[in-house]
Amino acid sequence: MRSIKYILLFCLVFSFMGCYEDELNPTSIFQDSTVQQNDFDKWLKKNYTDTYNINFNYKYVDIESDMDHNLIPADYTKSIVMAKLVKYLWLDAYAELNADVDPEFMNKYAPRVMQLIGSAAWEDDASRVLGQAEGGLKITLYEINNIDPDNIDIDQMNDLWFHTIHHEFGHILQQTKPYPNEFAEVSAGDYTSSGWTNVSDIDALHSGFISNYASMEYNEDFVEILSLYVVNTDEWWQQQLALAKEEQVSKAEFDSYTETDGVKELRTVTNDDETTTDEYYIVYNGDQKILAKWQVIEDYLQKSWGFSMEDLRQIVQRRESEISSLDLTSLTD
Amino acid sequence: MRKLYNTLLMTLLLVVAGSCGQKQDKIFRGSSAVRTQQQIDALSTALAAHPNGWSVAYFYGAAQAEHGGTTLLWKFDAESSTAEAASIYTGVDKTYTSNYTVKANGGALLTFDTYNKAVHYFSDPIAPGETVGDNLGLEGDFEFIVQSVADDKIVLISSKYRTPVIMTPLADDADWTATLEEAQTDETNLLAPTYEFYVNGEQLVTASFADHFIDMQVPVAGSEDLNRIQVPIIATATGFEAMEPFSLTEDDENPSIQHFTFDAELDRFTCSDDGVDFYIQKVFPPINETLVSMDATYSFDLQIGSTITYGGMSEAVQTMLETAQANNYGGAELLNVVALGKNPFYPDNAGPQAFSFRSYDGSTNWGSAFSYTITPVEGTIDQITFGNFGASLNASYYMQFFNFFISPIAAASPYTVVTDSPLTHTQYTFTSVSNPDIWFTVYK
Repeated sequence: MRSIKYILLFCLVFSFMGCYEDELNPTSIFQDSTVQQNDFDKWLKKNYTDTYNINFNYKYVDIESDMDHNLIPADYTKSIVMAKLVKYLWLDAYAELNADVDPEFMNKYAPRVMQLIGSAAWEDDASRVLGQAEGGLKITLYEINNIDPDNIDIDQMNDLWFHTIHHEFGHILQQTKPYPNEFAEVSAGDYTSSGWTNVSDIDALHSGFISNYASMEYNEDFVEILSLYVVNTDEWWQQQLALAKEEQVSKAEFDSYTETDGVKELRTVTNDDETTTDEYYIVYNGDQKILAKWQVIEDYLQKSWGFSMEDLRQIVQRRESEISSLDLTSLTD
Repeated sequence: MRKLYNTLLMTLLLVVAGSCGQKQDKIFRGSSAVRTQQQIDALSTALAAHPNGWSVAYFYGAAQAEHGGTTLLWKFDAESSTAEAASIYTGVDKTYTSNYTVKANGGALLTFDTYNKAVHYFSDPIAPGETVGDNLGLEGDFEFIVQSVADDKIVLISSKYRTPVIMTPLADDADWTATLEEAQTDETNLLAPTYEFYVNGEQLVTASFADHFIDMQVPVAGSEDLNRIQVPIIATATGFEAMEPFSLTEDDENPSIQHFTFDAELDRFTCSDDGVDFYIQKVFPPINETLVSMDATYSFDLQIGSTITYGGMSEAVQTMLETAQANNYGGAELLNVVALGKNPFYPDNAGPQAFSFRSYDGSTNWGSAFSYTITPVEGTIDQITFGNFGASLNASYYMQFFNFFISPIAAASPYTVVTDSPLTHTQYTFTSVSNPDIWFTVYK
């Protein structure tokens, strides 16, 4: 029994010896790092972060980039040009449009992050991704290194970037406030979710889609009409409608057409000799569907957001015409 | 007695237990975050510590067994967070500036995070010279994780392809252009039309050496099998080094082959590591054989103005050309190109070799060509004979004029031929063996 006491005594002594006061490391594992701000960083803070609550990443950040592709960073000077163009042609355009209705419009709805990438995102089949948007939070713009600061080509700008920006922002609008079902009903049954890549743009027009990508599904259709209408001139828009409206093809050509070519009509004409006749087909009506969908969008924007697509286009087009007078590399503004 | 026994037993137990230190030795000093921050600080300081920058042994495409290493020059300015870089492939006399950042990302990470042509040349998804990307390019990295930092050496590993990057400081007075020119010379010294590999005195049947990469198949001892070994290498001032030590035998846990020294006298690279009998012999075919398989058009030196100025030829050859010119439709057409080698008028440049001519009549350029064969003179490595002349293009019109040149040139065969470069053959000089006054040089 006494031995048990000894055991307990020793255990007690031992347990005290086992206690060890380990001093906490006075250095926090969360250390503030000093970030050197260059002139562009300061300009971005003033014109993007403070003005529009947007983090504009011109430096390559791997977790913000696309892990499926080998990419390279954007050029510093070309990033400045892009930042100024995006602000002038998109952010400021919407701000101007909504100045009276909602001055904070872009602060509330614009994506929180914009990421620039120098190269294209090439696929194995030599196709390339022009831009990406993630849940309305981030827009990634590729091919920034293709910008020529001394020779801004507005068509290239629209093809590569501003069509994408307006497209992705269109998604934010339609996801924030739903649009009427009648939009989807216009081309119901014509969408080809997986086969749109095989549809040419002209076939898409004949079928009532402003682009082949628009034929994928109705949300994409919605933002394609919105974005392409805004970044292009009225002349371009009328050309697309004319192409969508009517095409004359010979019977031989018609026989090789597929079901995606829209409504067809056989016509017979009497030749000049007034004795013989020729037959040809007319493929048409795509414009009717495009215009019907355009009207739904216009009504939706006016009713739900308080602005007109037509007004937006006029502002964007005016600003595009003013690009040549801007100093796109200066950081003094 | 029992009490004493118990007391001793307990004391013994206590001593034994107490011998286990309560304070465990720490494997790492500080938390991972603190250590990473220390690495970032150390790397940031070291990068900017050398005002003239660093020479960088950089490997690209090595992970996919396609390319090897090259020398880059990097310089860092901590205050502005800008880096300057230069490479052989983007111009030895050109430097490019971009931003750089050192940050935590799987350790201390150095990233060139805005475009720098001399760095991103190797990681662009479009390979140089291509217009369409394959999402691979040259398979180089522009982000690097630190492995070790010292004043005289920084070792990084590329973040995506896991290839090493070895940085050594440049002397303060080292000229960047001269340094890259030396590196270019070292890389050029690696080149040869073909190579022969010898291991322990035996020639390897299958082995190649291209694009800074060795690919060889080594016989497995006691077997019919071959062991394929692929080794990215980088040129050095004395020869070349493998990216990592390698072995000629499978499952060797201590590979030791890495350094090769160039022997200019024997024109070979010999492994300088202990216990290895391994050399790579440069092989240059005889010059007269290169002429038989000539794959380019080589032009005579004609400077065209109001009159023709002839260069790179003897007076005798100039007289032949002047006679041909004087007879060329009575001199009405002015010769502006005379060439030999690949017939430039043949579709896809795939026809037989030919003397080719182009002359201008005041409004139109006219072409003509006369095929020939080159035959090496037996028993020589540098003598050839022109022969077997034939018609190729517009011969019926122009042979009467240009025969004043072709016939005496053929008649002066055989020729001794020398070249400016046994590798690139940018020019050849032909001198008649029987009449040294007949000589001419043609240029690629």
